[in-house]
Amino acid sequence: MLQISKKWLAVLALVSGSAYAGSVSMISVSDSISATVEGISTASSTVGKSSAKLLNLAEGDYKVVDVAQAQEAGKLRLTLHPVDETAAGEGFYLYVVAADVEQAQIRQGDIVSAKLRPYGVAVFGQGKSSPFALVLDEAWRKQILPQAITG
Amino acid sequence: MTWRQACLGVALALMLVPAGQAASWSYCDQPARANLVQTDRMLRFGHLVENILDETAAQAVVVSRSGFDLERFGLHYSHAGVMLRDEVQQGWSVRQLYFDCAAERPRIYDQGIPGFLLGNEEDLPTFISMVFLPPDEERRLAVQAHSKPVALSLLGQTYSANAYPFSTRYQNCNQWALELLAYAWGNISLEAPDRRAAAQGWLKAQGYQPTQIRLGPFLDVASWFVPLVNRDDHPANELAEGIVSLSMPDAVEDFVHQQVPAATRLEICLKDTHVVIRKGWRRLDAKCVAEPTDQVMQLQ
Repeated sequence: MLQISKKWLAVLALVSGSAYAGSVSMISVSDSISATVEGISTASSTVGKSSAKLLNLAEGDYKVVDVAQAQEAGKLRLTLHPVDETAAGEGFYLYVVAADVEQAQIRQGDIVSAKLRPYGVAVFGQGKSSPFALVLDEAWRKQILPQAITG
Repeated sequence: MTWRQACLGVALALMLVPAGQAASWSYCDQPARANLVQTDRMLRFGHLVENILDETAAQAVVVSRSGFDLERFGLHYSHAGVMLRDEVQQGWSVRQLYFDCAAERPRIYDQGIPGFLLGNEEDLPTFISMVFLPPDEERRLAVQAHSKPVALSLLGQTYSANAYPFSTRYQNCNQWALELLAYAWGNISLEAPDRRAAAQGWLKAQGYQPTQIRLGPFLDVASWFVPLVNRDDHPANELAEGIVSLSMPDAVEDFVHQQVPAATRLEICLKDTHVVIRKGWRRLDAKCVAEPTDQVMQLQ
């Protein structure tokens, strides 16, 4: 067995950590920010899945009226209707990683809260401090992922 | 799994399995899922940093960020690059070296500030440090940093996390940024047959002092089973003493300060939603505790 002292663990963190710090590591990040939204009335139009800004999503509470399998593997489509229909517009579809929905224990009939962020929208389960979906505007999405420069 | 858990997971795995089995660990294995709370916080923090930068006239900034718990070595920062104002996109991007796991080679990337910050461990304070340059040095850096041919000509072919700063055998991310600074300020000839060697020669002549860490025999062991860690570029006398010299962001900043005394530094840390902003060359402490002269605010 290889035994490593605490000091050596820290050394390992240094050398492997500095390696990590210099690596492309966007797999999990891009997964976590991969939630997308789609206007219910535009779902069949060419607008398709869009950014929070394009849809002009309103901050507020939404009722989960339907949870369905999305076309994309591993994702669910949540149909969200505003609790206050006059204040929050028509509602929207939220496409989100199924594991995040399951972890947040979001079910049909639940109320979720959409909070506006500089980057788009964060969606929370009712009374929860942890979001289960982050929806980024397109400009932000482009900023997140590293773009390789080529000659 | 988070970044920190991934690192600890590796360390724990190394304690629990035979060394030969540990060798099968892939450096490029990444956490399956990111923490959304941390991602949300880092994106908002990136927005705050962008707002601060937008209020300056800066065009090119030497930037460093934290990433891992290196407190044992008295270090906060693990990754450095050059941040450039993008007049077309009206934003900022960091030009930097990353190891491309898919292609298994280092490459140069541009990335927005929020993305740059996403590599931080979730339960540690996040640090970003920015060094602002006087007009002449800034202009010379901006011209070279914007040049894709220059950026690529300074890219080494083989990555090593602990690359020796005065050898061109390997290169790490901070070393690339440092060599870019050297190229910008060192009047290195366009015709230089090996620009990296010329940049390193200039750095040595200017008295650049890399970060030195005493690893003892660990480097020997690590070089056997930790991917992208090597010892064959380091001087024999340092290896004999268990010392490894490498370029870390603190050394890069110290060199810039030495070369350009008029440069100014702004350091920002985030702990939970508590933000501390410090102007000056004295670094914040590891716990992100404000002193009376620091600016404090809450992350919106």
